[in-house]
Amino acid sequence: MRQILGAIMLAMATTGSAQAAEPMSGHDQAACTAPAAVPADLAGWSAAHRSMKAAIKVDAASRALLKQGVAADAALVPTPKVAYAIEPGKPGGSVSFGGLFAFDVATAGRYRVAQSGRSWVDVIVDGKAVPSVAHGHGPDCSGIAKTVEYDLPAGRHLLQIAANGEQALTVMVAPVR
Amino acid sequence: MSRSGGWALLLSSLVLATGVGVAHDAGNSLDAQVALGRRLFHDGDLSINGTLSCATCHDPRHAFADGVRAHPGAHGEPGLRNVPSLLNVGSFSPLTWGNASLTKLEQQAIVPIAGEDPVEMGMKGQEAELARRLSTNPCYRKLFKAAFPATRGRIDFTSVSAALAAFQRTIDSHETAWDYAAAGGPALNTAATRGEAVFARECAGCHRGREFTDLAFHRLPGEPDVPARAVFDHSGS
Repeated sequence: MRQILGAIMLAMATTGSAQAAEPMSGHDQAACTAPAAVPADLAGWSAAHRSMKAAIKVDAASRALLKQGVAADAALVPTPKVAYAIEPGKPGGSVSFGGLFAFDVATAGRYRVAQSGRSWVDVIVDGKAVPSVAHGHGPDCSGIAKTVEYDLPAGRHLLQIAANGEQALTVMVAPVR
Repeated sequence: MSRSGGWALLLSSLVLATGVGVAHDAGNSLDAQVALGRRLFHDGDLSINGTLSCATCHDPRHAFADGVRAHPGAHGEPGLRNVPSLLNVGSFSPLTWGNASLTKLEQQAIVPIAGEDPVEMGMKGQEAELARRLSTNPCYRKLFKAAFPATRGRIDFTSVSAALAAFQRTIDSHETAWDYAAAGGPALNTAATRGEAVFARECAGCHRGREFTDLAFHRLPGEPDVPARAVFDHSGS
């Protein structure tokens, strides 16, 4: 039986693995002729991006400091190398990518984490994951695939990214207005 | 028939013809299989890019389903159907609306892991890669040896699907107040009794029996007459 199952898997491999390996997004990006406008409070997404490497441990996260309203083109790291502050809700497998970032909140309020992928996001305050209050996605063709909102106190906070399928991820934190 | 349906039918025919019921093989430890299956169920390495585990869609916090209309695949491929809950799935036959030929959990695992219509976990043709990923983990090597001593812990799709099936058979909700009352135990309270009467009148046409389902596809008003894209949400939201 094992040989039969193996043969089936091998046969399946010959008929479409390339299709399965090709990245796709929630909407058909190939159909986009130009970047779509983004809401005013995500305007930074359409401005110049910073390049950044994700941190792999909490005490290095401040070197991966996200500036409010500025999108970062981040290089994530393989999941097994990341020492998360807490176990992510969806940690991803050994072949996925993740990383740690810090960001500052000057005024308590609602903040949105926008990203180009569909990775799992945790915001850690005082060692605990903050419950999200809303989630969604950006306009089609905007490049924003997922957004998650949090009510946050002032201070420096930790952003955990987990279970991303690619090493590259654009991420931005901005206040919700 | 869709391509994945064809493969699933072929697989189920072969499995049935050879009498496979791996979870119950003599010499294997069911408890160890359940423990292994629980870990595998939550492991993103069962998907091509590590982004999806079984629990990503069948989230224990949402009754082993999820809260969205249809879940995208590992690379963002559009989902086709609502994610069904796995509660009491060990009692179900057939297992899905999409393919009535799937009657064993050991067979069904190949659909989300390696299916193409839709692509979910994207592992078509990646059995060797799956074995490689799991084999590099010393913890998994121990767990597979404990679960499948008859094969000295061989790690392949057969043992993975058997362990997943063993775990899924433990997802059981047959200890509710209604279950106890139906079995002659303490009666439901007044409000629940009224609700039971309303349910029997309004809902039990489809949600019938001990499992609260007839396991059949029902066309809702305004919905297509074939099980397709996310047609199981009553509200249409």
